[in-house]
Amino acid sequence: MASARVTVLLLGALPLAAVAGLAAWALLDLLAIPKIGLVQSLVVLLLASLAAIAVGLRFRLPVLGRLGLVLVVLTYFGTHVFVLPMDPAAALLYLTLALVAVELRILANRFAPIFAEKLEPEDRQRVTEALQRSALRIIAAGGVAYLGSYLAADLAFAGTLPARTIPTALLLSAALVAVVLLLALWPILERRRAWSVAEEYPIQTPK
Amino acid sequence: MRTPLAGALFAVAMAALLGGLALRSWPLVLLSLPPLVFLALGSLDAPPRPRLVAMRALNRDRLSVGSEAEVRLRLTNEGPALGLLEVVDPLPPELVVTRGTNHTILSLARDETVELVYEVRPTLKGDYAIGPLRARSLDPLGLGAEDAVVAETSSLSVAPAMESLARAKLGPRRTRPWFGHVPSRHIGVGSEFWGVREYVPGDDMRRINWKASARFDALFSNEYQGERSGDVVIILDARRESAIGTPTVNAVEIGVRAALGVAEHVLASKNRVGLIVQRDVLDWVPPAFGRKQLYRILDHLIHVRAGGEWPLSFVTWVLTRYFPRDALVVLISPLTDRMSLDAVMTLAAHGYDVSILSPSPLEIERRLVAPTVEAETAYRILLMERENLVAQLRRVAQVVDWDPATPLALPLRRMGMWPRPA
Repeated sequence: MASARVTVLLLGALPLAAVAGLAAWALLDLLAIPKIGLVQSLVVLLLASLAAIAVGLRFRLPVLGRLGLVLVVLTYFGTHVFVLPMDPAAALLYLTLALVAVELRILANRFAPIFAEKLEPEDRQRVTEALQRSALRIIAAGGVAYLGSYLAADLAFAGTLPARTIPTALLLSAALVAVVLLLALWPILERRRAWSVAEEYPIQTPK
Repeated sequence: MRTPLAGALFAVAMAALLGGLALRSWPLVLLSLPPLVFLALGSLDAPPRPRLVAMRALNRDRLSVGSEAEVRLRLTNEGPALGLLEVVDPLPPELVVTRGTNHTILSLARDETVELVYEVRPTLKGDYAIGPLRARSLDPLGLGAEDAVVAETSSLSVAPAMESLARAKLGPRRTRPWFGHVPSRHIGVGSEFWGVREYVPGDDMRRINWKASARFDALFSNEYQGERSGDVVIILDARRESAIGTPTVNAVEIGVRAALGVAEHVLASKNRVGLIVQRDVLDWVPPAFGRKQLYRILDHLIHVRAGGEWPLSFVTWVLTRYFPRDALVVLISPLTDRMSLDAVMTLAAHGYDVSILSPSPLEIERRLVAPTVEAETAYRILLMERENLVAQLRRVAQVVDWDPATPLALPLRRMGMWPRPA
């Protein structure tokens, strides 16, 4: 088991590494643009985004950090929508990585302060288990988000991507319908849950 | 409860979808899927509202500043399983966690119980409440959370650390009829020799002066100086202007420690002690004897917080009406204004013996600033002003100018008998 110090360092470094990777990827794509003037202005925008992230981290201004990440992602997609052709697989991977970077930042904000405290071995074990579960969930969500979308693209443009069978297509259609249905019903489900908790499971206090 | 991230993901998905349709770009439409998948996964595994029962036990509910108390928090989940539960046992800022943690993230199965153990060390005296417990059921993807507050609170009473006044000779000069440890100018029960007189029937055999009896061929008895007790009234200046220093180390907190030490020392010598605290309000404890009185004074001192803007002379009003006239008045004040001189002169004019114990605000502040030439010059000027004030006060009272970095007993011991015998 990694020591608490290493865990805190990792938790802090992973979201930064993800953002750095996204920025590097965007920069590499920018260099493929033939117009030098446009490249220069987009590189300036990218650098400004990174500066915003750095300032946000240095002065503990999370709003600036978020703004920087949004600008990095917008630079990439703006370039691919208006200047360069868009590769769907790469774009999906980029967006999924951006989402995972956000999730990693949330994970770090939740767990790093707890690991920074002097924990007893038993407490540390509990927190580490919770951290592992959360990390696993984020990785799984990222994987499903990327693969599901990739397969959907395959369904929509059968022939452009290798996986194209009728059962896959049916499964993906069903999954898409389920997702839309869940999103549509989410507020209703949430209200019902709130009602049932308030009525049936009031918070108890010891007598 | 949805978090802003859920809204942001939905907005990204909609932007990609509408942008793709507007620009007739199918890859852009495709980009609306990953955020939707995250949202769908989040809604499939929404965090349930925590239903917890908490029991908190402290190994001691009364302690002094600097000592430690162990808190054991037992949590039982009486609701659905909680995959990710953040628990915070809120503490006042004056309580510092020295071992374990009061903030953790864990998972709790249905009916599972966990115990959090941590130790706290108070940095400031006072009555504190721990709790109520706050719990938040989290979504690992950060898309939703459910909060609960478990109304379980515990109280902790923190007494100030006491200044040791061992071997300091501090006591009232004027005595009252009760037996005590203060030598009076009356014949009575005591240990100091006073004189010899002729024996009268009923005199104790141990008091017969055999040498004088043999010499004069008649029985003679020794007489002793009676030891009696007196009254001491401690006045603590806890006005806002006296709180010089940090929240934990300031003239008022140091004064509280000194007041407790003086009270304990004087009560141990079988004298009566009363207390007047000048803060937001003027509160006082009438003079009394014994251990119970010490606890009464301690209870008052625990709640002292600097406040109030009134001049020190208001104390005179309470003192002359509710406290005995022949008491020794021990004024504990950093003497930050010249008005205190008037107050002390008024007290002396009313016939009180006044002794002043002044924690030096200059020394407290000096330790808080970087040693620069300007700071040193300012210190010297202020020190001259203070010495001038102390010199004027010494005409009507005995003054101990105390650097709080040294134990209070040292300056008191150096002074010998305090207050000086008349």
